Amino acid sequence: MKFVFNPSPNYHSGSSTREIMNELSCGLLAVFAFSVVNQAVQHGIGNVIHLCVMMAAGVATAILTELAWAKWVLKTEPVAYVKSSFGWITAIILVMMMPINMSIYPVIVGTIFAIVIGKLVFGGFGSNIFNPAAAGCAVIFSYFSTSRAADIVTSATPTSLISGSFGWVVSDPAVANQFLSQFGGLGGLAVGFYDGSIGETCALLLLVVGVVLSVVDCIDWRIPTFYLGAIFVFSWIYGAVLGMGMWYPVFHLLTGGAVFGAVFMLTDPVTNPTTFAGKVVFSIGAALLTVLIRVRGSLPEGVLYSILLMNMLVPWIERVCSGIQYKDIKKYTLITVVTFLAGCALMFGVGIAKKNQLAETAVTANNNIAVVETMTVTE
Amino acid sequence: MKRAFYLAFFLAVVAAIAGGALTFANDMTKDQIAANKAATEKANLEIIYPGSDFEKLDFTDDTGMIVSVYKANEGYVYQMSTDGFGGKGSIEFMIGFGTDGKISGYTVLSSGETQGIGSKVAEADFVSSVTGKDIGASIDIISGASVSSRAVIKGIDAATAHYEANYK
Amino acid sequence: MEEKKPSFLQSLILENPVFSLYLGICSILGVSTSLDNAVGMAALVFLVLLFSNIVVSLIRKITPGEIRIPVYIVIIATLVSVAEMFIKAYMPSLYASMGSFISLVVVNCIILGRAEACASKNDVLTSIKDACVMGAGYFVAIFTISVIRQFLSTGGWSFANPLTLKTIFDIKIIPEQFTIGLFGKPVGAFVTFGLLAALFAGYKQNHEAKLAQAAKEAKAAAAAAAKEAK
Repeated sequence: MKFVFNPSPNYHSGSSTREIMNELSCGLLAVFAFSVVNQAVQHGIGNVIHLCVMMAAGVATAILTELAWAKWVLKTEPVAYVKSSFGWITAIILVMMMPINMSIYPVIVGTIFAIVIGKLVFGGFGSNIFNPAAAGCAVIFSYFSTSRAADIVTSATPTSLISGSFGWVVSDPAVANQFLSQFGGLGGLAVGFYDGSIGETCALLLLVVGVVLSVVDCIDWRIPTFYLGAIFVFSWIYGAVLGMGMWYPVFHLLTGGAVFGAVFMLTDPVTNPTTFAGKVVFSIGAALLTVLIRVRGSLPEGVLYSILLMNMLVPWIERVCSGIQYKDIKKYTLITVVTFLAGCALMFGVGIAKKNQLAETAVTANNNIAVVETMTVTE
Repeated sequence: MKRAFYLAFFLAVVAAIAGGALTFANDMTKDQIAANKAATEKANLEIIYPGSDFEKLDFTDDTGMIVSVYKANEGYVYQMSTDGFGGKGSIEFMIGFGTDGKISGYTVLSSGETQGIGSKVAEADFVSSVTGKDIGASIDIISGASVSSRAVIKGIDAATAHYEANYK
Repeated sequence: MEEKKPSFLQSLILENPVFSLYLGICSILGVSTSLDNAVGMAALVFLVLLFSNIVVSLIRKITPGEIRIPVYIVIIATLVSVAEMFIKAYMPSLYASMGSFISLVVVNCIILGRAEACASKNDVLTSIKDACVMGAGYFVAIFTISVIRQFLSTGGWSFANPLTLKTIFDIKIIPEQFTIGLFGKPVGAFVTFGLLAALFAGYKQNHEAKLAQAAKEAKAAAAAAAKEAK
């Protein structure tokens, strides 16, 4: 008879950590297979080789780092430690968030940072506060953003184009149509045969993988649902205030790694709250930050930093939302609804502010300044 | 009561001695500090017009961006301070307007911009795109560093306007 | 039982003001980006510490207890301001790179802490010795961190004479594209400091475990010897 001891909550999903991680790896492998096909179809075998080298480098670095840590710092049996520490999942997720033409060295440095500072220093698997892949990615995007492998071909990503040329506001439907047709319309964006971060373009496949993983109880379905739903609502409010059609929230959903983050990063059980109300608040907060950072921040991508910021707030969310969920259902509903409405109000306000700002700059027209459109690939 | 007076007196004596030491040190070093400042100013001006004589001019400035104006043998040098991505006065640069009608030189003195992105306003590509242009011609923004480069261009426009109004 | 007094080198690690007492961290984190800065800051802190210890120790008998902290702060602030003026005049490159961190030496906890803990209670000679030991410890700390940070963020080490601006050495080991800019920024400072502090703490723990073990054995040996003698 097997006794399973958990810290509460005690509702156990039935599968062991190893099984869950294996299922997760399968899901990631499916996405990886798609990206191989994507790169082969779009740019040829050179990119595919580079992609495989990046993945191999990341996974190897993760495993070696953990072996070294187990042997010299913890002085325990290295192989057993690495097997139960699942560092390669972090490495795979990190590589999936890179643009295809990132050089190998930043990937290695980022992986070491992610594993050591993001996970091992806090106490290893299960004790980390921040999503380690997100931490490593943040380092790479801040300090290696210009480091690119010279001979890998790629083109501008949807998020970099819409933020660079339009500032995330495309009021004219004709311009919007022309912009979207570059990628095959919204349908093309969903299927994913365009350039972006490696694992993030195939929204449709990611949704399917997400559903499958939820059905086998590997990830919690509630977080991606509330996250994506909240992104849709918040970006719809912003778009409606600025006079953009329904394509705008769908665009927000399909690009920039929102679905990837929802399925693989936000659902990391170590770094998100344990209670239902907590998870909902976590998702709504992350969605709000994602949309805000995208439309108002000058950072390349909103999903990554919103995950890290919400990870920081998890202990506080836990404190507010902990307790027997079905007993105090009124209190928890109130908390989540208030958070959601506050987010809506904020997006509405931000939209109005942007509208006023656009009206202002149209009046004091800037002549003599030509916008040089260089193909900088940022995600 | 007497104790409180003694404490205050003691502290006052300590402060007086400290003040005396500070004044003494200040006297000893202030000439050297002034000389240093003049030397760095001259060194900066020499980047634009090497070997020239410089004369500092008085000016009236509505834009708030002009720090100082110098007259050199071959033209005029403006020292500007603009608000870039790093905040108020985050970019300080010098621009030289030559008597031949072209921008003789451009150099960034200090920049609080983001490394690798906004710091491009100080790099060779942007410098060469500014130097040699006709005074008043349009300058391209650096893609990806629009806030910083727009700030610099705004400063250059303000200097150009002042130059054309006063010294052309 | 006699405890072996730690050697000077050992006490630099075990009683290091930065890594053991966790004092004076902010100046280290802000300034340790290059060897020039490190040496300059360490020299500044040492000199201010030395002179403040001497002055505080000289007037310790006449300083009223109630206002001793304001008095110490005035002394330290005066010393730092005088030093800042001299640096601005004769070492302008150092002044430009260290900037506002020079003024921050006023609130460096090491100086005020040692004035309060040691100089105000001991004679001048002991205070000077204490200043030397603490200054050496601070130098070890800031030098170690700068060596690591400068190597990883710029690929090598360089050092120039601050007075004449002549470069004494400038080594480049890692090529440009493999340098990790992270370590030149505050993030890298915190990361390096944390990891080094963990290392020092680990060494201290090992050392104390060894001492405890030796004490236990000595006690057991003494007890056995006493039993023998009976």
